[in-house]
Amino acid sequence: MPEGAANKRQVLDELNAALEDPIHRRLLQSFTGDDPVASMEEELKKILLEALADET
Amino acid sequence: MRLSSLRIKGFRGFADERVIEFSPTITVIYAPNSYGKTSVSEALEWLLYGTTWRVDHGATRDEYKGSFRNCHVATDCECFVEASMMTNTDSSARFRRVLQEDETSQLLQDDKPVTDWPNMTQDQQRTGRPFITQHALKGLLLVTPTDRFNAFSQLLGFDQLQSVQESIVQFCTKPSLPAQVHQAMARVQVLIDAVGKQRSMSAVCKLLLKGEGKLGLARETLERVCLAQVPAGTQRESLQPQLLRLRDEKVAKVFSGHVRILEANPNERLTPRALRERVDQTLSSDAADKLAAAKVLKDSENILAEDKFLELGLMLLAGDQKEICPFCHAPLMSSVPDEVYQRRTGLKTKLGLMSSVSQSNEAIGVALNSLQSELSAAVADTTGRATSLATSELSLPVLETLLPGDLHSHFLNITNAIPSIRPLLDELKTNYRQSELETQRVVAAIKDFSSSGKDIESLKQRVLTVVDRLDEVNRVLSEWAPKLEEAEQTLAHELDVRAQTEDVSIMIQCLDNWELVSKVFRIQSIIASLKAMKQVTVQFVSEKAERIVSQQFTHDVQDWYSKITTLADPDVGFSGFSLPRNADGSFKARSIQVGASSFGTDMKSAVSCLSESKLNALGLAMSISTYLKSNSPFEFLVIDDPIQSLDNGHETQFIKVVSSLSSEHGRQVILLSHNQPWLNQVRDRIPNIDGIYYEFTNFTASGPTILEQPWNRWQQRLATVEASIGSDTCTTVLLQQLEGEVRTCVALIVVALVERGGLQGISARKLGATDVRKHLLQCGVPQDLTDRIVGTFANTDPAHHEQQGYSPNKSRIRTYCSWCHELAKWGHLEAPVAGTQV
Repeated sequence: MPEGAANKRQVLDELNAALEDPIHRRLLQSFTGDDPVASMEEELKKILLEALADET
Repeated sequence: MRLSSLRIKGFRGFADERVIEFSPTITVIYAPNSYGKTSVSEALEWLLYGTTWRVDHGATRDEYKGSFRNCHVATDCECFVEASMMTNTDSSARFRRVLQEDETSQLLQDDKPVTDWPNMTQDQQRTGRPFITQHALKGLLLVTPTDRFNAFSQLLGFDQLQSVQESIVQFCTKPSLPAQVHQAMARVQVLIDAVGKQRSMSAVCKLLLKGEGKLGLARETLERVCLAQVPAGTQRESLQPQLLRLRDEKVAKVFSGHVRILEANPNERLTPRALRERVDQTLSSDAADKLAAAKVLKDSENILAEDKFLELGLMLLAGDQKEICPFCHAPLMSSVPDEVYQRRTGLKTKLGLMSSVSQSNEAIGVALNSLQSELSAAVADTTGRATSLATSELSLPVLETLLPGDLHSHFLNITNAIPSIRPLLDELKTNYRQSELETQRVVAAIKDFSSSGKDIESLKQRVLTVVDRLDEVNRVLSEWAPKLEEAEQTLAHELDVRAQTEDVSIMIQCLDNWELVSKVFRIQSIIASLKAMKQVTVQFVSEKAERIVSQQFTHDVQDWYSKITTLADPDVGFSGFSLPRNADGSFKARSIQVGASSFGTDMKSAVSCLSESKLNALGLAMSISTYLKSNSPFEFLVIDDPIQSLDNGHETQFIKVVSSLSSEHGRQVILLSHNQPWLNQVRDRIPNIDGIYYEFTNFTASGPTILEQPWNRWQQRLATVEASIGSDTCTTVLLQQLEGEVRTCVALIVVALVERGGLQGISARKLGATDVRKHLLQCGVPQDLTDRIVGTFANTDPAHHEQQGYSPNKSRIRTYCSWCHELAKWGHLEAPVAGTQV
């Protein structure tokens, strides 16, 4: 793989560094597996349900 | 991994088996058109990937179907390509791909099936393949910008970037939300709509519509509006109760009551399942057995009485008159006190058992009372859910007036719910009362040891009946709950209208649900922020792609492209790659332009403006750059017919590229061409590398005839050695290399002598000192010259360099050269050198 594009993990790491919102970073960290969209949607569900259940 | 040798059988142009050995540096193969040259590169490609570029990119795959198998071999004949490879750790491995009948193939490593090449990732499967072929060059250049992007995408790893971008854009564009979040958002929207309808709350509504950022201000405004409704001096924390009181007082003048079914108590201990488990534990067969055992000891009172009687007797007999009965004063036998003592001791065992049974009974009684308490709580909770509805039965005429016209359906729901729920509640209460009485009876029986196992079993049935009823009632209540909740809300609204408390109700709802509003706003903010995530991702991918294409890759390609240009070239040529942008500056998706310039002026496109030769040079530069930037586990590069459409000057320039790939980039080069004069130039201009040169001299149905030819003529090599010795900058390393060259010259001269004598098939690369001596003597070379030549051959072996005290010197190499000339002169070697058939 050419050094510019490198592998998917490296692309994600670089993109992660470009994101400022911690929630976006958390979502990107769940970009895994054969169906990353489903993984991110699952993580978003967790985030939203946490916000809904937040007692603070 | 580097190639050591290649065996081909039954594949493409090779019907019979052929073996080709490779130099660790450069191997050159010359073959006229249709002599099987491309079959060699395709055999390697197929071995590595199980397919070839030409088959993968064929317009109609059917035309290529069956093209791997040589048409002259029988269908049951094994067709394979096998390569021996050296790994980086200097170990060797044999890889063999066997063609199956269905055109699929099986890869074997050292005869064991493997699914893939070792240490090769999916990315490496697709990018940086070690092949430079004409059709691949055309596939990169002479296609649409979109197809070019797709080709680059694979070669440069853009597909990874694209894949990441597409996934994130898809996710951010329409994220899937959980049902709870949808419900919460819907509730808050209804509330905001209601706020918007109240004139007194318009300021609150406006702030709410501005989102999370104005939530604090909206709350302050809401409290100010609420404070205007309640008595002066009311504290903020008392706002809600004050508003409730205000509303209740006004509404009560119209109607007092509710029709909703309350939510079930969330206490897990009161769920039917938990209750059933409790019933099973408390009213178990073990408890029944214990009670049955206890009943056997029902004569416990007699035992206690006898014990007391015997205790008294023993006490009285403990005095002086042991021979006289203390009750009737009759004389007693002397053994009587002992007999009384013995009888009382015997009773102690029964008393112990009684105590244990008594404790067990007590525990069962406590457990039954506890179960009854829980059952009581569950029944109270269930009946409590419908208490308001039951009470409202008395107010049905008023309710009917409150829910007229379109609202009458709600009234009908109330009137229908009551008769379907009330009998169930009555039945539940009756069953519960029966179970309560039965429990009390069994507990009393347990206390006096009169309860049997049958009591427990019948009580269990009664209690389970109550639990079943609880289940049934709760189910029916839950069925009615949504309709009655709607009726309740409609009724509340109607009451608010009649009591003129609509705004107060909305205020109460706002205060009640403020936490939910806050959470929903937070959630909406998170969802809205995904748009920013999408923008950052698209921007990141575009910039990264541009960096790769316009900067890194352009620079690399320019570097190789300039190596192929000549000083006489006009200032017209490739100027770089670019990703076209839209009018707003964003990047056009999946499109790459190849730029060209003419004397400093941009041209429309390299593809449309550059000559065939320039495009060919550009394609070569692109392929080489891509391969070198890849982390391909294959350290060899197969270059098939690279100089098509190049003139002599550019052909010569490309030899520098080949040399650079080998010497500067450490790649093992396998160069194939039909252009023999150019291949001669290659060998002449790269003289210091000990390459291997093959010629395909004939082609029949069985395959090509392959001859190994000397890389360079010995005269040329020897002249180079002698010229190098004369240099002032001759290092020890160079002297060692020159010794190696002398050794090669000796071998080439010996082979030339032998072949001149009519013996073919000897490879100069494979000669040892013993072979040299044998051949020289057979050719009739004088003993003295033979000894000196064999000594030269042995002393220039690289292994010889490691011997203690050894150091190369110019004088000795000069002597070796003179002996080589002497041998050649003796043999009159002026004729061209013949080849060695493989």
